[in-house]
Amino acid sequence: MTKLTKAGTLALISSVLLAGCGTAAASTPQPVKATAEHPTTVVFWYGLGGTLGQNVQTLVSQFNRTHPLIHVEADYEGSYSDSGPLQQKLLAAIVAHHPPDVAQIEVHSMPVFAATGALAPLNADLSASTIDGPSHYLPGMAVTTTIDHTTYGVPFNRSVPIIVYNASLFKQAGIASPPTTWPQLVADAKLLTRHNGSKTVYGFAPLANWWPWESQVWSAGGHIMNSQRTQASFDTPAGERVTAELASLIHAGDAEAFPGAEGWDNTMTAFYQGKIAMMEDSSGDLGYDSQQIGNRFAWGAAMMPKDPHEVVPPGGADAVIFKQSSPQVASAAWTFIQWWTAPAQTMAWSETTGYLPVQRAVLTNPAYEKFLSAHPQNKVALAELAYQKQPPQSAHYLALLQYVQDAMQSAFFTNTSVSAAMKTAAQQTDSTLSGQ
Amino acid sequence: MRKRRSLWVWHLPLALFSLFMLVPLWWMVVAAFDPMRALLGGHLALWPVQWKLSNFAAAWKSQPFGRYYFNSIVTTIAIVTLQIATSTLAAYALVFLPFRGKRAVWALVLLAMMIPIQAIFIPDYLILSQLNWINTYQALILPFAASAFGIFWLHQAFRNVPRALVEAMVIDGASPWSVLWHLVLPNTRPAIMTLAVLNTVFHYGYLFWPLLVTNTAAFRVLPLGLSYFVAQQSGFMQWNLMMAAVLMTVAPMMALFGLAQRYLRAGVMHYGLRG
Amino acid sequence: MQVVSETIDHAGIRSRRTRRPILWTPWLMLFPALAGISVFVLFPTLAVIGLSFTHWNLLSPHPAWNGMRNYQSLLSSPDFWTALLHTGIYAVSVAGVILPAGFGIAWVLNQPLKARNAYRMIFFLPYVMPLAASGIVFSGLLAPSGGLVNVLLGRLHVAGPDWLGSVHWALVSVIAVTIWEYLGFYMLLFLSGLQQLNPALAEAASMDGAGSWQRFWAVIFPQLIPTAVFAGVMVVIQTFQAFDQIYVMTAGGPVTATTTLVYYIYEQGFQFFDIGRASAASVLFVLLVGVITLIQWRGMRRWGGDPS
Repeated sequence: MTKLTKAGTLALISSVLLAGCGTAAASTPQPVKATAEHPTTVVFWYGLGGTLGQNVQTLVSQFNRTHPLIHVEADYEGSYSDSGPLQQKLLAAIVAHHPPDVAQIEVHSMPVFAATGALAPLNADLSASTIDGPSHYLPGMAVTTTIDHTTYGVPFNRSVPIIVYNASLFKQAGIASPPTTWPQLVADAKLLTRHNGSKTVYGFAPLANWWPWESQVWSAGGHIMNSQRTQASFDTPAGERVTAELASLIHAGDAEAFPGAEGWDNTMTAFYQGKIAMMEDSSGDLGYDSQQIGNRFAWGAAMMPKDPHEVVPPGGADAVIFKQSSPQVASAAWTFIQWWTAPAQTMAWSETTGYLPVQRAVLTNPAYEKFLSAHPQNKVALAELAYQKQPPQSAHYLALLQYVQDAMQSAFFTNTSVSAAMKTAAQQTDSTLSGQ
Repeated sequence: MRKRRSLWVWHLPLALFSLFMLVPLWWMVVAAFDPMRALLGGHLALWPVQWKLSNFAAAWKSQPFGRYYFNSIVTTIAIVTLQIATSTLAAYALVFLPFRGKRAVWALVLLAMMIPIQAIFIPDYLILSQLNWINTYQALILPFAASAFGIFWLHQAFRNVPRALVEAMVIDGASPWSVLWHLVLPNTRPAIMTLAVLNTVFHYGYLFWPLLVTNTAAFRVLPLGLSYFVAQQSGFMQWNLMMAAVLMTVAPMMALFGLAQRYLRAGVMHYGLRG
Repeated sequence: MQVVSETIDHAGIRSRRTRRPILWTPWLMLFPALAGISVFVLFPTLAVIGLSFTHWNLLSPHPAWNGMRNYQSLLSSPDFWTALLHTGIYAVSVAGVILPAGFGIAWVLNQPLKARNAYRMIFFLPYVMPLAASGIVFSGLLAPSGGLVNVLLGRLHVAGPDWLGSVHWALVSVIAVTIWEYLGFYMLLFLSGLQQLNPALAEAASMDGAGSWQRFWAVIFPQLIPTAVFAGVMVVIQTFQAFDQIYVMTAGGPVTATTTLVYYIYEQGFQFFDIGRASAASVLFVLLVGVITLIQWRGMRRWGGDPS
C-alpha cells in the first residue's frame, strides 16, 4: 500500500491543483452600504488611446475625488472602433458572463451589443433624469442610442466626420474657400497638389476607412443595406461614385492615402507637417489637431462635401450599463454617466478634445460661445448635426464595415477597381447575413 | 594546418550575419535611452544623442509594469512547474509501468501533440468561462498545466535510463516514486532542464493566450502589456518609451539566457533529439 | 527521434509482489496529465469538430445545425484561400531560409573556428525575446519615415516603402522577424545533429579535399535526416501557428496581406464571432498540419531515416 501512496499522493495533489484552484473567484459581493473606506466600485472599460486616453483618466480621477462613495476603475481595453480589442473583449466577456459595469461602445456597434441582450435598458432612468434625456441633448444624439424604442446608451463622446484643411496652402493655390461638394473637392485637390522636386504636397488625403465612406455612399444617394437589412446594397453606381473618384484621384497622384492600421494617424501626421492640404478627420480630433498645428499654418474645418445630398454618419461612442451589474453598482454607474454628461463636464471634455458637447444647454453658455469664436473649427461639427443619418441597425454591421474597410484599402492601394472591391465586400456581407 | 587557416574565410560572412542579428537589439537599446526627437530626425540612430534613463521611469509609470512583471513571473513559474510535474509522472508510467491500454494512452498523447491551441481556443475559452475563470490566474496557467509535448519529450528521455538499473531497484522493493526520484530524475536532469528552459522562454513570451483570457490590467502579462502600450499610443508612437518598455520585458529572459545557456546548449544539443 | 518507428511497448517491469500497484499506480500517475490534456485539448478538439457543423455566434443560446455549409462556404470563399496562401508563403519562405541557413551556420560553427561560442550565442540570442517584443522592435526599425531601415536605404538613394503599411511588403516584414527570431534555434538543432554524427564518418567527410560533396551526401546527410525531419516538423508547427508577431505588427492587414490561417480563425472567431466558420477553418487547419507532418515522418523513414 505504501508503495503507491507517495506517487499517488503527488498525483492527487497535482490533480487537485488542476481542478480546484479557483473557487474563490466566483463569489458575488454582498450588497453592503458604501463608505469612503469601501466605496462602490464601478468597472469602466474605455477605448481611447493617446492624449484622449489621458483626458479620460483625468476626468475619471476628478470624478473619484468628488465622489468618495464611488470608485470608478477605468480600464483601457484597446481601441473601441474598427473591430478593435475593446469590442472583441466586450463580446467575449458577455459570453463569459463577466462584463464590466460601464463601457464605451462605438456608435455603429450599438445594435450588435443590443442584440446580445446584455445591455441594461435605460428608458426609465432617462425619463427620471434631470441631466440626461433627449430633451437635454443636442439634436441627432438618439440616432445611435435607441434601438427598437429601447434606449441602451447615453451619448458619451460623440463626433462627426469633417474636412480639415490647411488654409495657408489654399491661399497659395488661390482658392478662397473650402469645397462644399465632392466634384469641387476633386477639382481643388488637383489645384492644390504641387510636385516640388522629390517633395510633393498632396491636395487631399482621403482615409481608407469605412467612416467617411458612409458619408460618401449616402451623399451620392446610395444605400448601405436594403431596408430589411438582409442584404448589402452599397455596390451600386451611386454608392460607389464618390469613392471611385477618390481612388482615381489617388492613382493620378493628386491625393495621398495612407494604408494599414496606422493609416489615419499617418494621415494626421502628414497634415501637421504641411504635406497635405485637406484631410478627412473626426471632429473628436480637433483638440489634438489644434495642439499639433499650433502656429505652423492657418487651418480650418469644413463640412463633409455633398453630392448632391449633405449626409453624415454619427461617430464616437455611447456609454452603456450592463444588466449583470447589481442594482447598487448600476446606480453608482448611472451617477458616473450623469456626471460625465452633465453640462460642466461635457463642456470641458468638448473644449479639450473637440468632441461634441452633448448637452443643448452648453451651446448657450457664454463661456462655450467664447470658446467657439476662438475655435471656429468646432462650429462645423455642430452645423453637421442636422445632417446625421442613422446607420443600418444590423447585428452584423461590424462585419460589413470590416469588409468595406478591406475593400477601400484594396481599391486605394492596389489595382483593384472600386466596383470590383465593393462587389467582393457586398458578397462577403451577404454571405455573413445569410448565416452561412 | 592548411585546413585551420582556411577556416578564417568564414569570419566575414559570420560577422555580417552577426550584424544582422545584433542590429535590431542594438537599436532597441539605443532607442530606449534616446530622447524622442533624435529618433524622428531621420539621422542614423546608432548612438543615442544622450543616455536618458528617464524613458524607463516614464514607461514604467505609463502602465502597471510592476504588476505585469509579477503576473508574468508567477504564471511562467507555475506553468513550468506544473507541466514538469504532470509530464514526469505520466512519462514514468508510460515508460516503466506495465498497464493495459498503454498504446491507447500513447496514441492520445501523440494526437494531442498534433493539435495546436490556436485551433481549439474557442471551446477552451467557453470551458474557462463556464468555470467563471476568465480574467484569473487559473485561466492563464491551468490550460498549460499538462502538455502532450512535455510527456513526449520526457518519455524520450526516460527511455534512455538503463532498464537494468530500474529493474534492480524494483526487485529490491523500491516504490515507483523512489525509482523516479532517486534514479530516473537524476539521470535525466539535462532533458528536464531543457524542457524547463524552452517552456520558460515560450510561456514568458506568449501573447495569444493571455490576450484571449484576460480583460484587465491586473491580469495582463508583459507581452500583452506591451501590445496595450503600443495600442494606447494610438499610432503616435513614442519609440523611446516603447523600447524602454520592450527592454524591461526582455531583460529577465536575457538574464536567464546568460545563466541557463549552458543547460540550453547542452540540453538541446545532447538531449534534444536523442532524448 | 526513434519515436514513430518504435513507439512503445517494451514490456514493462513485472513486479514480483502484489498485483495492486500494477493496477492503480500507472493510472494515478497518468491522471493529472491526462485530465489536463483531456479537458483542454482532446475534449475541445471534439467540440471544434462538432461546432464546425453548426451556425453559432456564441450569443444565441444554442448552436444551430448547419450541416456541411460552413465547409462549403469556406472552401468557396476567396478570403479563406488567401489566408491559406499567406500561410503557405509564410511557411515556405521561413523554412526555405531558416533550414538551409540554420544548417549552414551550424556546419561552420561545428568547425574548430575561433570565437565560435560567441557566434553561437549571438545567433541564439533573439530566440529568448518574446515574439511580441521582437515584432515591436521591427515595427520601429521598419517605420516608414525615421525607421533605421529606410534611413539606411535613403543613404543609398533608395526610397524605402512603408513596410508594414504596404500590401506587398507587410508579409515580407513579418517573415523577416520570424527568421530573425528562430534562426538561432534551428542552428542549435542542427548543431546537435552534427555533434551526434559518428566522429569517424564525420572526419572522413570533412570539407577538405576532393569529393567531399559526394561524401557529404553519401555519408553525412543520411545521418542528419532525423534532425532535418525534426527541424522540418518544428518549422511547420511554428510557422503555421504564428500569431503574436502578426498581432502586434500588422493585425492581419493591410487589407488581408498578413492574414494567415490562424489569424483568419482568430478573426472569424473572436472578431466576427462566427463560431461555425472559425471551427470549420480550425478543423481544416489541424488536418493540414497533420498531413504535412505525416508526410515528413514518412519521408524520414523512406529516405533512410531511423538511425538507431
